[in-house]
Amino acid sequence: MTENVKNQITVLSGKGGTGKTTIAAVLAQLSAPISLLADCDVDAPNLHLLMNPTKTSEERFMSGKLAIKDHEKCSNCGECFEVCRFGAINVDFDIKPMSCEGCGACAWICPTNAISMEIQPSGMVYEANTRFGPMVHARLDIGAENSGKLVSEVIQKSHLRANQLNKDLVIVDGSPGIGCPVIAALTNAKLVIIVVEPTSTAIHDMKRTIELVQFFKISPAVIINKATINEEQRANIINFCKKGEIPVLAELPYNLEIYRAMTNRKTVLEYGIKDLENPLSKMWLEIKELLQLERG
Amino acid sequence: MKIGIPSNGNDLSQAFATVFGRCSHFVIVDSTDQKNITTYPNEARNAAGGAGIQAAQSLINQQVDVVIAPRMGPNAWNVLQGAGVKIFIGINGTLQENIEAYLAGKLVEMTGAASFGPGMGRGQGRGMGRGGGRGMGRGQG
Amino acid sequence: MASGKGGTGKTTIAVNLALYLAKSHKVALFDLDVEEPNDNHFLHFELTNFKDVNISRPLINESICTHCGLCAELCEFNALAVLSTQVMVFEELCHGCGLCSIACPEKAIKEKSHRLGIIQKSKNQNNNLLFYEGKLRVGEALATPIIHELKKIAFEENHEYIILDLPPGSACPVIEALSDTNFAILVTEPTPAGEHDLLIAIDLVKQLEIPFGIINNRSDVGDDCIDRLVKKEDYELLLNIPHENEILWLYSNGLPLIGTTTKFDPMFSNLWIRIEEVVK
Repeated sequence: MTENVKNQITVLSGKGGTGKTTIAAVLAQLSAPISLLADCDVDAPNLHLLMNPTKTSEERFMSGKLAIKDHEKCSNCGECFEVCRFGAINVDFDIKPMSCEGCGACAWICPTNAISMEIQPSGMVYEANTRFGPMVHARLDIGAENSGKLVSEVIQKSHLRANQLNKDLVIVDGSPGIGCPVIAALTNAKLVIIVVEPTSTAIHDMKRTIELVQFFKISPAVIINKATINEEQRANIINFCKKGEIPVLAELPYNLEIYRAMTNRKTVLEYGIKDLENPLSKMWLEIKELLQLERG
Repeated sequence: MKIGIPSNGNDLSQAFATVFGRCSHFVIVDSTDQKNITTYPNEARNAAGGAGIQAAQSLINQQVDVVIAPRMGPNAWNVLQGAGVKIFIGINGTLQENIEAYLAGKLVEMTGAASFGPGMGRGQGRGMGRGGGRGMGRGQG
Repeated sequence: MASGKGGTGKTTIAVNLALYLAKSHKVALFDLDVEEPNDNHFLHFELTNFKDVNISRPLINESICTHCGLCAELCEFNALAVLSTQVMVFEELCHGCGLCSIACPEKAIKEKSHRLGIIQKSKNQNNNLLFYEGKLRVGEALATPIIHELKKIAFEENHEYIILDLPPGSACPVIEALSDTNFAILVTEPTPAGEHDLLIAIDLVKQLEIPFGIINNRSDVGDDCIDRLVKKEDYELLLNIPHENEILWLYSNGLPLIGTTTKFDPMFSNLWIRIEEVVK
């Protein structure tokens, strides 16, 4: 049985460092009894730093092929060198794993079958418990590819686990950008929250992210973090959202205390940052209404 | 007529898989003889990218006429369409229930990839959940 | 050369160091974050097309094709699907390896050139600062070939100083961008996340045997984790940048620190002195 849980919120940003993880952690706290948390920023996972998870299981993640050469069978004919377009075969006809795209051309052309394509370990997937409930997270090895597949793995595992534990909601912390891992993090999402700050670069990236989310017919909503650092840019965001009928769930004032909360490994609510309490609890009420949550 | 369905196991009591390209198995049922079931593991689930395409290709190689799926990425949809396979949107339930619903004419034909599903406007009703995984076919290795 | 976690100030350092150095040297700045190039948000240079970056894609001759299905079977990227009457090519998945073309028993697959992205160059010739950026076309997934091309330009042309602004993370494009550089600047912030990502970045530059130094941005907002790390491991700390509302304000309006005001010139002059010390 891998039925999906009814609700999934995916938190995205476009640009890195806008406060995506901060928001995901707060959501986990506010929805604690009914939710499971999934960290899909597998290239640079940070949520575990805040959540301090206790690992309950781990699994090696296999993905992507690499050409492996059997030196005994090699006749040094050089066909592989000729056929490789990625410079992954050197002049001694050895394979440079860092450059190998895994296309298999060398293996196909090799007259002595000295090259085979082998699937590689490229990361880890963890299941864990935190003070706010269960969590699924992962780590991609340095230089490994295929983070989209690892993200799908995390999402699938999250729904499976959430279902077993009778949770209503999966909260996904996505990765920056608009590429494959982000698209994978949108799978099953009912609501996508885009965390933006009032800076020209973050706004630019927010617009691209909204475009992507709407392409998949998922409803976006926006949270403005560090809302007080630039009034003019803040107004730009508000106007943009008004025009596109995109709900603005919260405006959070800039407060240096958030860095203190981070270093203490607490959510901004646990750390008791007064300025943020009201907007965040309002935000949660609005999300509950959007998702029509029964519990929580 | 052969009907292909993404599944997480190999008999008809299994739940309908909520992902297309990365489901664990495909189950193929002959509509004239529902005892006639073929299942095979979905090799595409381990693909780095293009899982939806590879999964669709495997169904075409099995010469299915109809596919019932939760949702599908544009690539997989295009492959099936190109091969003249009809695609229907499945319901939340077992494979058996989906086949019955299809034969009773209760399933809706999928008219475009990822272009439907739980569009969740403000205040829109409950019961829109379980839209299910969009096929990961657009994975870009 | 700069690197680090998303949102720590990579772009700010790269752009402003380039602007500062360009006051007295010939500098070339390359924005290698081809998915989200942001440097020119702060430079506001007029750009001109420099060159296209292409890869090859299969072109099927349907009149010869027997639809045997071998190409789809061999393609590791699932970029081909063979139906009974046609072959479908999913260009966005194609890595341009050419295997389908050489393997086709009917020789029915030729290759065509496909534009993956574009490299642009700044127009202003009289300036000491030359700027290049690569831009992946929306919907394309292969960043590495564009980065490769940009780096070829960087090392072929004769520049006094080359500054590369890297994409975030530790995946393939970052490794491609980092290889062959002389020195890496790792930008971080004193939070658990900043420290965590810094450790990964250090791991990476050590593997590639590139000497590096660290910039601690917003150095006074978190705790002393970066200072402790630097002391313990004897790493080179190049610069502490305390939090300042003015930096944030300039940034949010897309204005550079160097040139908009002179207030931050000493900061970058110190940074440069430190880099020279460390490199020597």
